[in-house]
Amino acid sequence: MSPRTIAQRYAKALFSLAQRRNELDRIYAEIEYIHTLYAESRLFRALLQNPIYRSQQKLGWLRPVFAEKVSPILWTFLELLLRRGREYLLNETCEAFIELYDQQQNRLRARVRSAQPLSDTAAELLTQRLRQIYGAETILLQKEVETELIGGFIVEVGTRAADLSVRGRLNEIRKKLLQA
Amino acid sequence: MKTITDLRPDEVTALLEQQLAGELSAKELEEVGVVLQVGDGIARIYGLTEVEAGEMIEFASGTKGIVLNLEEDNVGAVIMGSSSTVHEGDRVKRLHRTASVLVSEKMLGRVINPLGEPLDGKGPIEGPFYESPYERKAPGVIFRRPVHQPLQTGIKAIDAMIPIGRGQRELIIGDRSTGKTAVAIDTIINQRENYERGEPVYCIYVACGQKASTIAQTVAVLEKYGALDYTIVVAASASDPAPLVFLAPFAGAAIGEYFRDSGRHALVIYDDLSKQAAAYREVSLLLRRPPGREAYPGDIFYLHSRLLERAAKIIDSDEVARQMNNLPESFKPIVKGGGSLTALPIIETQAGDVAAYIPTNVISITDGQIYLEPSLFNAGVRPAINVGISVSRVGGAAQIKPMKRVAGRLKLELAQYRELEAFAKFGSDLDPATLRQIERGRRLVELLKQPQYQTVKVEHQVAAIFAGTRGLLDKLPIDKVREFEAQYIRLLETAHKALLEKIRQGQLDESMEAELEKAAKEVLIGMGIKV
Repeated sequence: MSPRTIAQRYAKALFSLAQRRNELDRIYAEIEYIHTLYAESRLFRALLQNPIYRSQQKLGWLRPVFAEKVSPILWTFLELLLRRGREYLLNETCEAFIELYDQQQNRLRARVRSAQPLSDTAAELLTQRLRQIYGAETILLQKEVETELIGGFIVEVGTRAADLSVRGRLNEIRKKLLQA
Repeated sequence: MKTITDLRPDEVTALLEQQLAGELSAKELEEVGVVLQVGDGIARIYGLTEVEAGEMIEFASGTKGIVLNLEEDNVGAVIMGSSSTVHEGDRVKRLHRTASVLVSEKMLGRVINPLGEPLDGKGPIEGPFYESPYERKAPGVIFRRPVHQPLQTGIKAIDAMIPIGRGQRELIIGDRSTGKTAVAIDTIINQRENYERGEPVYCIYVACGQKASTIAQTVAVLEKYGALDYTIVVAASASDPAPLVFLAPFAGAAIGEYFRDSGRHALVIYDDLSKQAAAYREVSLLLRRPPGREAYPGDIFYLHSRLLERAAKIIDSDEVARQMNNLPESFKPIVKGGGSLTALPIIETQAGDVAAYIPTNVISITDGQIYLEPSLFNAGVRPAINVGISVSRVGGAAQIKPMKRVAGRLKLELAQYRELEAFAKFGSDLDPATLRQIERGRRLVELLKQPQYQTVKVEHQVAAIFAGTRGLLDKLPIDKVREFEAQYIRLLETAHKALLEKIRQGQLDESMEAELEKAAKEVLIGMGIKV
């Protein structure tokens, strides 16, 4: 089975448990914290990915850090992951969980890369537009500045994207000219 | 001219807001993927969740690809071009069309790659273009009619004993350097006559995994004999990436279908399918499809059967032809009935082993095979066709009547000769009847020899074979047979033009046979032979 599928199954289990116990929002916040931690802490990443140490050892190291601070459900879940030897999938599991939560909250994550910082009006317009297209309640806009785009922007929503940048247009023109 | 620096920031902002207000629509949010892994001409892509198998995709560099594998969480695609331009993390775009080649009438006389791009440096190919998919379902039974028109190869041994009809699939099989390509090239050259008469049989020569120098030679030969005017060469040389090589025959079929479906005749030569099978094996293994016999993937039979099924003779009715299955949108205005696509696949065997995997597969798919043998080739029998095991399962119906009449005897006589030939090696004390049979057989074999690039018109073939099977050559020394044939044809061309024309149109009766016999005897007497 592919790693993504495995992660999705674990995430789904945690999600439905959290939902039943009415702890969804808290778990979500914690999961998001772990997700950022994973992205930012090299040590944390290395610890989870390292195949040399046994899961019991890793559990021993993680316990003082997490056990008291996160909700009991999440700690049990982390223990489960480690005992099953799936700790290397923690990041994917977090991502899958976040996806599920977004779905439940009817919100959408979009990434926008623009040549210049996006003005508030532009961001608001974009949010409205995406809300219309996808029918989502909230749009979480992640803004990035990429000067190589020359002008305009690129919006990405999941695996869909619209290239409205000057660079993209120029590329298209170049392609058309080369074809002719 | 405006440069980027001329663009004022407020203009950019205005542009931006304008786009946001109006242009960004669901349609513009197109599906993209990200290259996860690339190598060996294969890319694995994350995303593109709605892509279809066989769809074209475009990488950031503009290189195109074809989706072959749809997996749980990634998409496997072959890269149609250099994989060094595709990098990990590159964006991939869907092109929303099944992989297809743009066919144009102006492709005639050109050398193109399987993507339809010119390779001969004669400038770009002009339109109008018709989009023809690489993978298209073959026409169903109601849109076909049985083979009934001959496709003259101009090779005596083939046209007489292994006749090929338009819409047939006839395999050319043999070891390396036994003249497989020569048979195919001669067939193309022989279509010159049809072209000049205004009833062209368009030829598509697919060079698949050959040396680039060999391809160049072939093209030069075609040009020299004026065959390039009605021929398209689709070339994927040995140095091209494997996906391009395995796609080449499909490109040839797609181009052929354009002619077939517009009511014309086309001949496509796949030279050769064993190399295509090897290229497909390479791609399949890289895509991690499970290997089977000789490490070929499980669908190697389907690869060849679906390709060769597209050879067909289309029903004459335009109305029925218009309803043909899986007709591409761009073909609809030009569809006509009565067209045909004849396929001559070539398979190279290793040390005469026709029982290997790929040869047996293709033999079972085609409507017959022309078997070329190195021993015959070395004995000077060229084309080195082994008449005993070569067959044509449907072509007989397409033979013209005079040929049927004279060739029936030829097959029989040659079969008897082959049986007795083994005896003849033991000694000379044979009875006169046997001896006569052997002598005649030798002359018939001599008569069927033919130099490369010198195709023979069907009426000349009939006349020559008639002389052989009638026993008129029995007293002629073997080394004079070729000379006799040349003089005989010259005489017929000068003094019996009407007779030849009648034969060409499919007539042959006893009085005409008598006229042929008289002419032959005249030549024999001229050569100092008593008749």
